[in-house]
Formats: sequence, C-alpha cells, structure tokens
Amino acid sequence: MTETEPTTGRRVRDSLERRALALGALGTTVLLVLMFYYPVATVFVESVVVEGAVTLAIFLDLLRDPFYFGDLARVFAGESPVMVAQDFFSSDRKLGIVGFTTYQAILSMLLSLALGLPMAYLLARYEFRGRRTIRSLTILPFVLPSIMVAVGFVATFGQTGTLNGVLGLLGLGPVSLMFSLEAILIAHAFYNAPLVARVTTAAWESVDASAIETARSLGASPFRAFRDVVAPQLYPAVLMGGALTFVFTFGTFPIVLALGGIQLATVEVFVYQLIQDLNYAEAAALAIVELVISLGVLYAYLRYEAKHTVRSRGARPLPRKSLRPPTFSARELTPRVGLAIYGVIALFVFVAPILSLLYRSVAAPTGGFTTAHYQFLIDRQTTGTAYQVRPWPAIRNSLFFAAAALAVSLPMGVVISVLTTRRYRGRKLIDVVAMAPLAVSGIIVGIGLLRGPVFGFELGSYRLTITGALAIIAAHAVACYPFVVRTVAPGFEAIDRSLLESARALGASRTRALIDIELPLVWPGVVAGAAFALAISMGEFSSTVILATGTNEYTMPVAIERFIGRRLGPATAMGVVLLVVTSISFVIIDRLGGESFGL
Amino acid sequence: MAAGGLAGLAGCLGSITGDSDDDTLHVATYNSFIDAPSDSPGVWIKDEFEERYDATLEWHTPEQELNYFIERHNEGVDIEPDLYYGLSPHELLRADENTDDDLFVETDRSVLSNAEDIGEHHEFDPQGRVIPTYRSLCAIVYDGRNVEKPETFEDLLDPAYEGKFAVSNPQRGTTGQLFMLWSINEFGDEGEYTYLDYWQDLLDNDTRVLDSWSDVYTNFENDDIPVIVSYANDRVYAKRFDNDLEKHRVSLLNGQSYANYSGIVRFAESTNDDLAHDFMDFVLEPDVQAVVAERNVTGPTNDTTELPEVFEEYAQEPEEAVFFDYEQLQGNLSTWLDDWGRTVVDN
Repeated sequence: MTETEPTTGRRVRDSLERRALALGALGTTVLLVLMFYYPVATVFVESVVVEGAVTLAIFLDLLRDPFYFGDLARVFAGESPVMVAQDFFSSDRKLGIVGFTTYQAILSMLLSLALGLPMAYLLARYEFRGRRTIRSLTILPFVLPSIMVAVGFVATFGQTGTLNGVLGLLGLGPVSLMFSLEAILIAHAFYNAPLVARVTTAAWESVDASAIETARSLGASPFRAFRDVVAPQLYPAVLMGGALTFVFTFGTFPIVLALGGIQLATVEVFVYQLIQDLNYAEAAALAIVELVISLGVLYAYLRYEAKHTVRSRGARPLPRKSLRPPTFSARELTPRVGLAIYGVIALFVFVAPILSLLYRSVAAPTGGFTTAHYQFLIDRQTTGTAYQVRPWPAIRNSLFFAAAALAVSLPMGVVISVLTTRRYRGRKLIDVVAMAPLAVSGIIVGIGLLRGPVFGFELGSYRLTITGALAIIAAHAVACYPFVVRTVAPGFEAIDRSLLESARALGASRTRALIDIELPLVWPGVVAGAAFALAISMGEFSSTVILATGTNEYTMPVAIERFIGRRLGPATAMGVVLLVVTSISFVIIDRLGGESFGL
Repeated sequence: MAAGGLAGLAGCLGSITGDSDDDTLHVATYNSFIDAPSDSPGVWIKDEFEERYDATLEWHTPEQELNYFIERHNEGVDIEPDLYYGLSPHELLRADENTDDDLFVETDRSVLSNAEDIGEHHEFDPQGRVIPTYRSLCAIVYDGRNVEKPETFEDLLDPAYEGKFAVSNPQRGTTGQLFMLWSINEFGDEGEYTYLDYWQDLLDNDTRVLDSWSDVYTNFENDDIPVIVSYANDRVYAKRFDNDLEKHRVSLLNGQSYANYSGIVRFAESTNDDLAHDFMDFVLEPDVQAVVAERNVTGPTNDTTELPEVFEEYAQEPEEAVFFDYEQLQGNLSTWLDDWGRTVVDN
C-alpha cells in the first residue's frame, strides 16, 4: 500500500504515531475501569450505602472498635489524644488488629531491606560465575503459592527441620522458629527481600561511573564518594522496595496463619472472614481502611521519588569487582567476609525452603525416595477427565497468559509512566490511584470481578459478560502493570528534558521520541518491569479461578491448589514444575533484555 | 498496545449460556469432590449416572462455592445448576440469612423411591429442602508413636500436649469450625466455664490455630505437631496410601465425634424436574451410597446401605455422634464465631 500511495500511508502512520499515546491511555483506562475500578467500586460502595441511604456509620463503628484500632479507637470515640497517648506508652498498650498489622509490616519491611540490600550490593558490584543467572532468579520466590512456602518453611525451620539439623551438628540449638512473629517476618523477607534487591541492583547498575571518578579525583575518600554520589541515586530504589514491601506485607494473607497462627492475625484475615460471612459492608469498610494506609505509604514514597531523582543523560556503569580479593588487606577482605556471612544467612532464608520443596517432591512417606508424586502428575495428565486440572494444559496456560499479560502490561505501564512523569499538578495523585491494584485487598477484587465481568455488565436487557482466557489476560495485565510503572517511571523522571525537547524540535512525534530516545534510556527499568510482570502473572491465582470458564483455562498455581490433599507429594511435585518453568522463563526474559542494560 | 488487547477482549464478550436441553443435568458442588488428588467420588458418580440414565451430567464448582450462588441470586443473575450436592447445615443457614427470597426449594420426596430409607436422625433442614446424603466425622488424629492418646477435651489442656496440638481456623477451615462447635456442645456458651474459656486454656497451652486443614495436616505429616483436629476416617486414607498406621491414630473425645452432614438440594430456578429427581434418587441408592462412602470416606445416610469392609475395619465409629442442627445454629453461629475470633486474637 505504501508503494502505490506513499503519501496516504505515511500520513496514516504519522497520525497513528501522534495519537498512539492517547490511544494507549484510553485503552489502559477502559481496561482498568472494566477489570478493576468498577468491580472494586461495586463492593466498596456497600460500606457507605446501607439499604439505599448513604451513611458513615459503618466506618465510625469500625474506627471506634478497640478490637481493630486498639487504643487509637478511643481517640476516634472522642477521648483526649493526650490521655490515650499516655496509656499507649505504658506497658498495657493495645495495638488492635490494624495496629498489629502495621507493626508487623514495618518489621517485615526492615528485615526485607536488611536481607535485600546486601544481595543488591553483591549483584551490582561483584563479578562471579553464575551472577547473571542468580540475578535472573532473584524474584523466583514471588511466584510461589503460600502453601508451598509454608511447606518449605516447616521443612527448614521446624522442630526437625534443616536449620535444627545443622545447629545440632554444631552442638547448638534446637531453636523453635515456627508459629511465631519471627517465622512470619522471615517468610515476608523470603518474598520481598528479592524485590528490594532487584530494584536496588537496577539503580546501582545505572550509577554513572564518571561522577564517582570525578569525586575521587577531587580527593573524596571511597566512603565519601559512596555517600555523596552513589547513595543518593540508590535511595529512591531502596525506598521503593521498602514501600512496596510494606504494602504487600500489610495485606498479607494466608501465610500469617499458616506460619504464625491465629494470635498473629492481620487485617486481611478479617476481611476474608467477613466476606465469607457475606458481611460486605464491614468487609468493605475494613478493606478501605487497609487501602488508605497502603496508598498513603505509596503516596509518601512517590512524593519523595519525584523530588529526589538525580537527573542524568545515561550512564556508564561502574566496573564490577572480583569476588576473589586481589590483596589480603583489611579493606579488600572486610566486605567479602561480610558477604560470606550474608551468604550463609541467605542460604537458609532463600535457598533452603526451595530445596526442601524439591526434596519433598521426591520423598517417600516411609523414608527414602520415590517418583510416585511425579507419576501422579503423569497419570493425571493421561487419565484425568476434562473437568479436572491436568498439568500440561496448566503449564501451557501459565506460559500463554504470562506472555500475553506481558504484551499488554508493558505498554500500559509505559503509557502510565509517561503520563505521570509529565509536569502538572496532581500527577502523583494520579500515579497513586494507578497503583491501587497493588494495594486493594485481593479478596475484595475477587468479589468485584464476580459482580462485574463474570455476572456481566447490564446493557439494557442484555448482560455483557467478560470471562475466559482474554478476561484472565486482562486481569493479569491489571495486576502486572503497576510493577512496570514503578520500574520504568523513575527512569523517565531522570531523563534530561532537553534531550526530548531537541527531538521534538527536530520534528519527531511524541511517540517517535518515546520509542527512539526515552525507551532505550529506561530500558533496564523496562526489563525489570517485564520480569516482575512475568512473576506476578505466573503466580496469580484468585482472578484466574474466578474468571476461568473451565479447567481448560487453569494455570500452574491452580493445579497446585487442586493437588493439595492428605499427601503433600502431588502438590509439591507440581510446585517444582512451577519453579522450573518460571526459572527458565526468567532466564530467557533476562537474556532477551540484554546484559548491557543489566537489570 | 493496550488498545489492541482491548479489541481482542471484545471478541469474547457475550454471555456464556449452557445448553438448556433436558438431557443435561447441571450439578453444583465443591471442587475437591470432583478434583482431589486422592479419589474424587465425582468422577465415578458422573460416569455411573450418565450410564444408568442415558443423560449428561455437568459439574459446576465455582471457587467461592455456595457464596457464588448466593451472590448470583442477590444480583439477579440466572443460576444454571439444577442441584447443589454437598451442602452442610451452616451453609444452608448462611444462604437463608443472606437471601431475601428462596435460593433453594423443597423437593417432593414422594417421587424419590429411596427417600424413606433416609434415617430421621440425619435430617438437618427444618424445612425439609435438603436431603442428607452423607456425613463426615470430626475427630482427633494423633501420632501414636510419640504421644499418649488424648481421651477427653480436658486432656488437651494437659502440659503433656503443650505446643503439640493444632487445629485450623474455625472461621476458615471446616475442621476448625466443627471442633469449635464440638467444644460448644461440650462446654456451652454461657455459665461459669464456656467454650471461650476452654479455647483460652487451649491457647494458654500453646495450641496452634493455623489457617487451613492443609496447613495443620502438613505439620502433622512433617512430625512437627503430633495431635491435630481432622477426621475419624484418617486411618482409611493412611491404609490406602501405605502410611504408618502407628502414626495415624484416631481419638474420639469422650467416645464422641462431631458429625458434619452434607445433603443435596434443588435450586429454586431449576426446571429440569425429571433428571433432577433421577439424580437425587441415584445418590440415595444404597449401592451408590456405599461407593461414595468408600471413595469419599464418609458415612452413608441411607440406613439400608451395606458398607465396604475396609471402612468397617479402619474407620472409627463413635458411641455418639453429636451435631447442632439448623435451628440450633440459627442466630448463634455468627455470634459464636465472632466471639471466638475476638477472644483468641486478643489473647
């Protein structure tokens, strides 16, 4: 067509290019409204509309309930804040469920930072065999269903677990870690420290080496150079990892009960219970409280990110050091010894639970090894009925949905990143609203999806239902794209505006400038976002089962859940399949992303 | 870009309506009934029913189970299944308390040839809508190699069981709820020492209240927790999977067991009378009751059923099966659960 009508073809392309961003924004909005905002709103509205009348009574009751708000409830009930504060700092303070949830989320965040930052340091600053593969696999814990993590943790930290076995050999222990706050914190770190590590590694790798060389040539000590040049460029990433960890662990469920027990119940446990009991009004009110706290933390972070981004024109990364010390001086040895100690801890926290799963999948109930659990998967594949979950379709669906969700969520994320990094008032507010899929209770989203897409949107006398494979992909994309935004937006924020202005002045359309200039500069963020999106989609469970029209749309996490029974073997075998398939996908995504853009 | 994804999405818009012909019966149930890693009775039931009645049976197992249909009903969206198979008293109560008009209807039992063989003592629906089809028995499972058998509720408070007993969260797991109801049957909800005091004492003895039955069972299998709340049929499964029968021991506290009944009921919207009646009669048939008993490892409700031998040998039968019927649960269950939640979490 372009050969016979070059001018028309070109005009169409130009006009499409000009409008691509607007079209992308429109598409993103429609998708989010249909698959997220509207469904969630149908549930949230129940907290303020009771039998047709608008009321705040449910919120007031909730806020004044010491069960949820502890001593703070007394302030909401009208008592003097000073009196309450005095009591709060006495010994018999009451945190309430919301208070406790916040407390454990803060501790989880601190532990995740403590375990994630050394990993980032190792991955960003040292060269060693297998570094790229390890970096690819860091977010593997993200895809593991909580029941698998529970199995791995019991096997690692239980009475007769690996840790106590090793401690026993050293003549120490045994330590009892299960069913405690510690167990929950470690499990949260298992999930989130890799996230902290991943985003921080990305930031570290894009620190410009020349800036440090300049600082050093001006006489700054290595520590000074780090503090004044490197660290400021890492803070936004570290805080992002921390903020996301807070949000995820604030909404944590059901791992808290699996590893901690009912005494350590969090807000989400009660949202679940209220929904189960069909008490939507209170459930929605509680979920809104949860959402406000989570988004508040994200908003604070976003404000910080906007103010503290170090602008750059691209980067020549710092050269990596060898893990083997070049000399045996204290300066070379100290960090490496520290990393060695960290390595031992990481082995227990991250590697042992996964190895335990591998072991469980081949362990016979009476001792020794068996292939029976994998045989079960093969049997189910060959003799399972059409309405039962079979392993191969589950693998195929997981891969297909993840690839499709990636293809949808990457453009969505890029579009939202562009829109929220332009300069206008309230853009961070839009950004935080766009992050809501990270922070809304999954249980509420589930009910909303039923009421919206599954039962159908009423259009006159017709009901428009959106279910099946495409609906699942759309829901996965909604869950994935905030990660793309969070990994890509800081890059956009950091791009020197004059680059963009020159391109536009030379006649490039906005889209052309985005593709030719901006995207290459933020590529590490795009690759990181892709990896997170892949992980989220691969691990997604609740939207998938709700939107699927039958077993032919079930994925690996659904298969794991279905295979749980008296014997753990079949489910763990399927869990290992999930681990292997996702590991391969992560490595492929990373290789496709290219090493020079090292994310 | 995203717009492309949406254009594709439009391709699948439209309602999913099943075939409404009378040769297909739609039955709703919970998913482990048709898709568990062990033996799912649903597979056999479908094949057998289809062969005997020359019809098609389609299972419906939404993730939210009964709540899915309550929600559909309340939103004014049609309900496709004709029957709900595997409905328990507390679920029926939840449906009645959360729907304005009828989700379920009564079935004329005179058209069912097996209805009169259902023992009166199994009935739990005062309106007679739900016909009991099987029951499971909640019991204590303990590791006979490592702990003494707990014989009574009070035994579980003994220092010997400190930190060694686990139960699933009554608000989430079935076994947990059964055990809570069992404790209410034992201690009552008013007076000097109530079920809440008992739970308080359990927690003081370091009892673990975990998320689901799977979590509890995982800890038992891993030798981390030797005493758990599970089912009286545990040894039938242990035998089936060649597990150590010394490890898998069952204790009926005070010789009792708390019974969880399940029944079959007709959705009010259903119009497929003939097949619905055929299926109800089919699942009440003594030979079908016996097969379900064996595969599901649950007890029959048709009193003329002859049970298979393995069941007789390894399943424990209590001297007395206790349970609360619909009327006893009505108006109480949510309060019991709520009070329980506030007691244990505040601990």
